[in-house]
Amino acid sequence: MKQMRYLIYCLSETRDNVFDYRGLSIVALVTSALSMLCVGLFFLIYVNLHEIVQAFEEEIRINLYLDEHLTADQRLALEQVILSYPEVNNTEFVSHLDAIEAYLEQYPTEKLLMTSLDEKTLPASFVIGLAPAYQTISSVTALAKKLENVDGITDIQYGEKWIQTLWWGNYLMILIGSVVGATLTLASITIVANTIRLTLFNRKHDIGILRMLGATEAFIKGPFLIEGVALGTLGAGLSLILLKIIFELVIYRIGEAFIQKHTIIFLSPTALVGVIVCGASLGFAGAMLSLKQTRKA
Amino acid sequence: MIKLFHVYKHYDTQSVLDDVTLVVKKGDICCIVGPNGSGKSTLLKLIFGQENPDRGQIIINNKNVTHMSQWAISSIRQRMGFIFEDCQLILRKTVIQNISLALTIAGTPLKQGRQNIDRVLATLELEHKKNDAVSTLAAGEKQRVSIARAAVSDPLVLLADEPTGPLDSTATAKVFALFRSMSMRGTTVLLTTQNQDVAAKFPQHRVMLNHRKIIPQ
Ligand SMILES: Nc1ncnc2c1ncn2[C@@H]1O[C@H](COP(=O)(O)OP(=O)(O)O)[C@@H](O)[C@H]1O
Ligand SMILES: [Mg+2]
Repeated sequence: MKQMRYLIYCLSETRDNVFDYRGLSIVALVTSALSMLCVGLFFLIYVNLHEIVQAFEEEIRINLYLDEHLTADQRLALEQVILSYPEVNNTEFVSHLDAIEAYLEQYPTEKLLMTSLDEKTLPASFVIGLAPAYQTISSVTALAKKLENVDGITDIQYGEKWIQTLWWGNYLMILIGSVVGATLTLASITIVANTIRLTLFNRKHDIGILRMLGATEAFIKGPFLIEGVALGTLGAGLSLILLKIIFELVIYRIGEAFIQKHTIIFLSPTALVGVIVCGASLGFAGAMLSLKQTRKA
Repeated sequence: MIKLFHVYKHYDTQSVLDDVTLVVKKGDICCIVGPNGSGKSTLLKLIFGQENPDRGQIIINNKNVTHMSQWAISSIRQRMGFIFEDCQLILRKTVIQNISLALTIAGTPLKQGRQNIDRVLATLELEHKKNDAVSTLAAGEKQRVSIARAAVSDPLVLLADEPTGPLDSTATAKVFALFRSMSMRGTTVLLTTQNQDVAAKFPQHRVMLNHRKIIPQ
């Protein structure tokens, strides 16, 4: 049970280090918690946008409006061409009359305008359902590009504008999140490293004594590594608590107010564990950084 | 067992040890007596790997420790006890924490370690102070903690640099009794003193260090 003795030593040493230099430790804890909170916020927004985009992607239909001079045979031939694309799961023909019916169903008061609803304004169309593997913005856009040049199709619509915007918003979140996250992570690693470096400096005399007693470098580093991991993990925990508070008080309410179809979700259990693991690794990295040259300490 | 063969050591322009040869057999106690500045501490530091000799060989328990790697020095030190002239204690820690540090580093199992700690605390009359911070102790008490730490891990070799300097005669007698009992259990003891009365207590194996040379008594 000699590992037990060392473990007890490491833990009590870590406790002393954190407690004796609590000002430093608190600064390191709070800064790492705040940076992880920022990363967490971006992640949370990303996860929710992603959910929404995905839900929309599943519902995407492409409307192919047809040339009004198309004969029935030509139309059947065109349907075969469309079905030959692997992206296309099924097609549904909507005739001019079907379109008028649907239009009136939506706007019953405009019955008077019926005369102006000729084949030019409400042409017949194919509504395309997409194969599951192709229910993404990018493959829809690609398919639309391919169908553009097919004879007999006059117009293609798939609500591209705002889905595209959503997609870009999501993409932007990842981008900003990564840049901000990387910067803040580096900052926290540096702060943890500096905290430990200062503790190390203050313990210089003690470390000299440990070496006299035959302590190896690994033995000496143990408590400082634990300190780094502890600071990182506690920082991550603190950031998650703050994130949950912000989520309940702000994000969830905004979501409720503006987005009806989807419930805003918090991070999944896996993501929560991920954040904690990130915190621990961040602290470990900081400790390793500061311990690179204990020999000189 | 400690062997030094033709060891030379100088600091800057000053030669401190000049062709020193000394053999202490396993389980023996050797007392080095010499005036201030005669090189006693330097001699122990060479054995301890804290200083390197200019020339010559140093062998401990059949291991040549002259110019060893830091890692090898660490593992040798785990089997050695060193009582430093200036105690080298961690002041913010308690008596018992300082003593058990030697056991933690040597990798002694918890249970066995506890027995050892109780034994040295009793021998050196430190029980009532065991939970006090070392910073609050008197010089003689600090010295006894330092001795306790060196003795607690049953080292193969005990190096004691003027161990009884700040101690009264009762405590001194206790410490020498401890050294003798350790040597009987196989620890090789090398101690230094500048006090002829102390040296007189070790008539069997006593050497004089003077003018950079070892002079057998
Ligand atoms: N690190 C050092 N640098 C320079 N000179 C030293 C050093 N350590 C010891 N000396 C010198 O070496 C001589 C022997 O010192 P030391 O071994 O401490 O003697 P002792 O322990 O017998 O009193 C002294 O003259 C001392 O000044
Ligand atoms: Mg000396």
